[in-house]
Parts: sequence; structure tokens; C-alpha cells
Amino acid sequence: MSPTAGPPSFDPGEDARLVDRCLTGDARAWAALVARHERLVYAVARSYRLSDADLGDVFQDVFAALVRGMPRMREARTLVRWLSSTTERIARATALRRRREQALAASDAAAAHEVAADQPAVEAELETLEEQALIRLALESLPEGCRRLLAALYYEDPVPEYAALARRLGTPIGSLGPTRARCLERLRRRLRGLLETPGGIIRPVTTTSRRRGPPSGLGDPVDARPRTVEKRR
Amino acid sequence: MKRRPPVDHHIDPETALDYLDRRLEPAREREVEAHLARPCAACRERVREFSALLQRMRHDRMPEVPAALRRRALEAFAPGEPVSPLREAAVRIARLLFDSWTQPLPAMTRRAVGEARRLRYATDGAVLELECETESPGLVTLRGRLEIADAPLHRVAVAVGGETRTAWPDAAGAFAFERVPSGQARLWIEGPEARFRIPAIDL
Repeated sequence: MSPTAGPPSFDPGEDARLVDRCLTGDARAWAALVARHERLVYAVARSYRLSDADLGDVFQDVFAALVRGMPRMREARTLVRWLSSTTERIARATALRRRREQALAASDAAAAHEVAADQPAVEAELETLEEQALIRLALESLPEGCRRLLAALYYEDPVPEYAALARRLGTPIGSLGPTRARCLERLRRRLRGLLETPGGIIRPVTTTSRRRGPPSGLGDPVDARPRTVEKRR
Repeated sequence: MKRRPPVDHHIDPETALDYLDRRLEPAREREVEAHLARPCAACRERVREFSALLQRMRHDRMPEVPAALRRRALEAFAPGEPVSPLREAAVRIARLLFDSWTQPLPAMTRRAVGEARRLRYATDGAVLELECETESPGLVTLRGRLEIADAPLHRVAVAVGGETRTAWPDAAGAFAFERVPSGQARLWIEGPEARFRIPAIDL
């Protein structure tokens, strides 16, 4: 899915609605859900430098886990966070398994035991990838003219010259700067609005919830941050 | 280089973006910086947000997903088969297979593994091993291992008194809760492959 294509929806409740439709067996809703989030899953999985075969398995496992987890999903609007942390855990487990196998194949038992403590650290990158995914979703919700202009200016490599871009978009070169400013301002406002929406697609990393006793459903996806031990009072 | 009216009040989006891209004339740039030095939180916030946004977009090199992978994701869903939340709603209670308090280990084994209480539970497709070791009066370390497919995707939670802690098993299914207050504890597991709890235990 390119930044200029895809469903033009940035409603924080869109993921929740798609999950509800998936639960009724709607394959089109599933395809839309995959289209919205496939890049994020792929990017997080790739950060572990897996082989193509393992990368494919991780990618499929994440979406299979989503299929299994959807009925118990309390807050589908936090799906970005759920997907990134789930992908991170599956990819990390796969990478560790492969490294152990390689260490054992090399008859290096000591190295095999040390692998667990030497896990790749991508948590910081995870947050960046989540934000980038969110920006892409926001971008897709802008009018086509804005999407095409911003995609060209910020996602193409190399960045096209203004003259060439003006020709391609069929607009006067003098309007590109003001249009870019208007479009980025709209994008900024949409992102800000989303982050200020309680229970939006994503929540600030520091968000935690208080809970007493066993929950009645699958954990809130926002809790799925990669942590070893988390303490709540 | 662009000429625009002086920045007398707030910085408009185009000026903010040109400032970040270093496309303003030096005099204009100084005006913007002078404005940002004033107590104008709105403009500072606008410039900061634009800066973060542009940085994220410029460094975003998320690749296109290969069509073959997308197909695999799409195949993970069985169209036309509604998934009933009710089917998934039941919380299973794992059965106790072993408790070293009621089934003492042989002396030789005790010497090897220590005096920590050991418990073993099982439910459909999952085995849970626990080791409860008293660290100091009133504090217990609870270590465990969850044997299940995709163990790292399962959250383990333990509640003692008014405190609830959660942990995610590592790739081998191991997890630990250190310095848990002693008392009657409830422990439950949630994940894509299983959702169960164990009967309350005394730590």
C-alpha cells in the first residue's frame, strides 16, 4: 500500500469497526485491516534481520494471532500498539531460536545459553515505527492532492525537484510551498486530535491501567508493551 | 529565499516549515527566533510538532509489503466463519498435577533443587510450572515456565492483596515475579493460545 493509496479513513474507531466486521466473517473487513497495518508489521519484523522464510512466518503468525485474539480484544482502537508489540515478541522469539540453533550447530553450548541475555533491542525503534505508521494512516485520510504532494516530498527517494513535481501534479510551481504548508498543517492537526482522543488508535507510551483481580477478557492491547516484569499498584 | 511580512504575532505554518527547512532569509530567521524566544507556547509547540512530524516522515522507509506475504496474511482469515466471542469467553481452570508441599520430593532431589515450593499445572495444550521461593519474611519470588505454543505472546498476571503484577514470558516460556508480598495469590494467563487461571495459592 503506497502512502497515496488505501482507505481514506483516520477515524480512531475505524479499527474497532473493522474488527467487529471481521468477527462476523467479513473477508473485506479483514483485507482492509491487513492493508491498514501490514507495513507496520512488516517493518517491525524486518528490524530483526530475519531470513525471508522466517520473515514470512512471523508476518503470517502475527495476523493469525490477531484472528485468534480479535474475539477477546477489549479495545481494538489501540490496534497499532497491539500489532507492533505482538510482532516484536514473535520476531524476537524467532530470532533467538535461530541464533540458538546456530550456536548449537557450531557446538558452542555456552554461546547458546548466552543468547537469551543478548536479545536485540528494538524497543525504541518500535515507538518510531508506530508513529510512522500512524502518520501514514493520517496521511491517507487527507484529500488526494495533499496525499500526492506530501508522499512525493517526504516518501520518495530521491525527492523530486519542485518543477518536476509541479508538472506531475499539474499545479503551478508557486503554489507548491503554500499547499505543502496547508497540507502539513492539516496532517499535524489530525495527529494532534488523535493523540488527544482517549482510547484512540494509539496511546502515549506511559499509559497504564489499574486493575484488580483477573480480567474478564483478553488484556487491553495497550498493555502489550514488551516488558519482562511490570508492577502495578 | 522568500520575503514575507514580519512575524509580529504568530508564526504561520508556511513560515514555520521554511524555518525548519532553513529556507528563510537570515533577517527573517532572526525574527522567527525572536518570536520563539517570547512566551508564545502555541508557536513553539507548532514548530516542535512540525519538526517531529517532518523527521518521522523523512526517515520513514517502511518498505512495500511483498504480495506473497500479503496473501499469507489474508489467508489467515477464514471468510464467512463468524467468530463467536462466547466461544472464547470461558476461562479455564488449570488442574494441579504436582505440589511439593503435599507430595514432598525425595531428599536427594530436595538437596538438588532447594526448599522452594514447586507446583505444576496443566490445561488443554498448556503446562505451567511454578517455583515459590521465600526471599525474606513476607516476600516471595515467584518463578515460572509456561509450556505452550507462542509462549511469549501470553501475559502472566499475579494478584496478591491489592497488588497486581504482569509479566511476559521469554522465548523459552520463563517468567519471574520478584519480591511479591506473601499471602493468598491468584494467577492467570491470557494469550492467543490459551486463557486460564490456577486455583488460589498461598505464597
